[in-house]
Amino acid sequence: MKMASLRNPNPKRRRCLSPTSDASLQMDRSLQSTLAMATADPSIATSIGLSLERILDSIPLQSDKDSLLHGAVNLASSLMEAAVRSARRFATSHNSSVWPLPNDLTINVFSRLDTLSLCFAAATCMLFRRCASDPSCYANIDLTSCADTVTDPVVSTMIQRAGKHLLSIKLGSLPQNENKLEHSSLTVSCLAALKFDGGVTGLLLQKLHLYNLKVGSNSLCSILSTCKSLSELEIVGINCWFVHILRTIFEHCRSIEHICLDTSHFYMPIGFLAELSVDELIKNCPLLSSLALRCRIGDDLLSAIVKEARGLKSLDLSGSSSFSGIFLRDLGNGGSANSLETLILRDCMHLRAKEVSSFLSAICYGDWKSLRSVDISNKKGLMVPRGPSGLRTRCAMEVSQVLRERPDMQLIADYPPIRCFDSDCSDFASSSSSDSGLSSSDDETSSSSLPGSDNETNASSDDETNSSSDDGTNSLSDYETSSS
Amino acid sequence: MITLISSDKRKFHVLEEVANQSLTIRDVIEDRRGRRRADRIILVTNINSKIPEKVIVYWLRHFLMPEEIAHASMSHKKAEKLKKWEAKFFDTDIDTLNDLILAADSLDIPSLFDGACEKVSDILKNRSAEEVGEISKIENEFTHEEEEEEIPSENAWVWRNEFA
Repeated sequence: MKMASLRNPNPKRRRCLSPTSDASLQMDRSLQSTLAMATADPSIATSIGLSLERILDSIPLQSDKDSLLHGAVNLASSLMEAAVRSARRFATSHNSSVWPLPNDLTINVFSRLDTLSLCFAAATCMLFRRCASDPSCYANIDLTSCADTVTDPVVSTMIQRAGKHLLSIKLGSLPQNENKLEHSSLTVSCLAALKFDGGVTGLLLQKLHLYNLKVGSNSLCSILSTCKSLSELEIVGINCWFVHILRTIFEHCRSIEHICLDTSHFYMPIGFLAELSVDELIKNCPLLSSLALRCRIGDDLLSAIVKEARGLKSLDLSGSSSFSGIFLRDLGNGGSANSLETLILRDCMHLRAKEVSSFLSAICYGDWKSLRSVDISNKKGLMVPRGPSGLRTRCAMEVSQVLRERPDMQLIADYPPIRCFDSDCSDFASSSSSDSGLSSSDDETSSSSLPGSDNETNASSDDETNSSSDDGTNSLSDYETSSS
Repeated sequence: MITLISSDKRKFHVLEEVANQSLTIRDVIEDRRGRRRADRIILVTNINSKIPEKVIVYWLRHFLMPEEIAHASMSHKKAEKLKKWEAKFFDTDIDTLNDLILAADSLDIPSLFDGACEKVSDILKNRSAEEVGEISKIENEFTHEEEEEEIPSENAWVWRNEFA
């Protein structure tokens, strides 16, 4: 509207510009004298009011008074409009003389700004606004710094502006406090613009990061399916089952390299192999090099994923639960094709001590050749299933052995100062290395009888560990029944 | 040796090898190779004398440490040193930087252009609209109320933000 008023001067002004008209000359003169009076007299407001009242008093007819008042209001408002318009025109010409850069260079500078700073610059003047609406300025949309004020239409507009220049989008807010979940007001519908024009915009998008957005699984998947050249996807705190998202990515985003999914704030069903026919799908994505999952996931699915993803270099499962670590065995066996360099199993609630210790022994035997960095820390200690409740342990002996055998590898194994059961742990190690099959139930019961005596002192000293591992054993036994 | 003449008629004598960092000048020299000495004078019309001084300082610094070599074999320490020097070089007011951008654009000196653009965008980063106006000496044409009323979906939300 503003632009329109600048470009199309109203008919009245055009009449003023025609030089021969007597009326316009007269108008110029009377307006000039009025304005001269206005600028000379500081108390113009009172004197003009009095003058208007005197004139009104001198008019006998009410209808004439009304039309006079109407004219006065009309005059005032059109005078103000004209003044604002002229002021803006002066400002515009002033700005274009003050700012030395031509538009293409200004756009170059603006394209290096973050999105919020860009919007502030755009709110300064017409010149900057024009430059700031150039598509190249919106190649990387990052609105994480203003997640609580930004709205869907804003994001949608930006995506449409960026068009074919769009490279990356970052939306939502990462909660400061890990346990507190802050949902931003954005919904996934702001990304619907990616699907416009047959999905041309989405087709070119390379990076998508979404933090704590309100999202429905179906709409998110339909958007992801248009992002065919996506190479980096990070979705944190979204109320979706990760299996749906994974399947969509593997199906449609063939050039995906990095995936990070965190749904740990919501209680979602565990992901099993049956739901996701990984073997077929994951072959579509040969570039997949890093995978971070923070959700409830079964061993069979994990082992299928890691077996099929030949180029996987980094696997981060920190904070995930519901898997025991059996998948590590399968991998060690078929290890040669494995390219894994980083493996992070930090704070995996149901990770079993036995699996970890056999994994560490495998490293010592020379498996996992490409592995450079491992994290098996756990703030509660490793789980001993079917043992007396509250028993958590750590594999101190295997850890020190690995540190000795593989000095090139970075191994992080921080555990809480629980009274350790190193001797028992070595028992696990010896039993598991001798027994590679899955007949683990006998094995576990026999070995867990050993630490039982130590446990009584430990469990009473640490209530928190007690309750949490209770929970862990329960859901794990659920898992075992449903998987078998 | 070639001579540059700025818009205010000051002369700058520069070694050809040094000035070659400007792709524009290099092309001009290539075109005029083998001709008379008078042709080795290049008029740099849109630039006042303050800027060639800076540009030549920049050239000399980079001539001593050409970037191709820099990337291949420069020690970490030297790279740090150059980085520090550049930070100091670009630490000026926005007017000079804008002139540098213009000069680097017309003389085609990519590294100088990038450095100056980066610095200007750094200056404008994390500023409110008022501050941007102050820095760039731009007069603000819009008011908060107007923004809220007229273009609600586009820019109004910006005013509800503040930089910490």
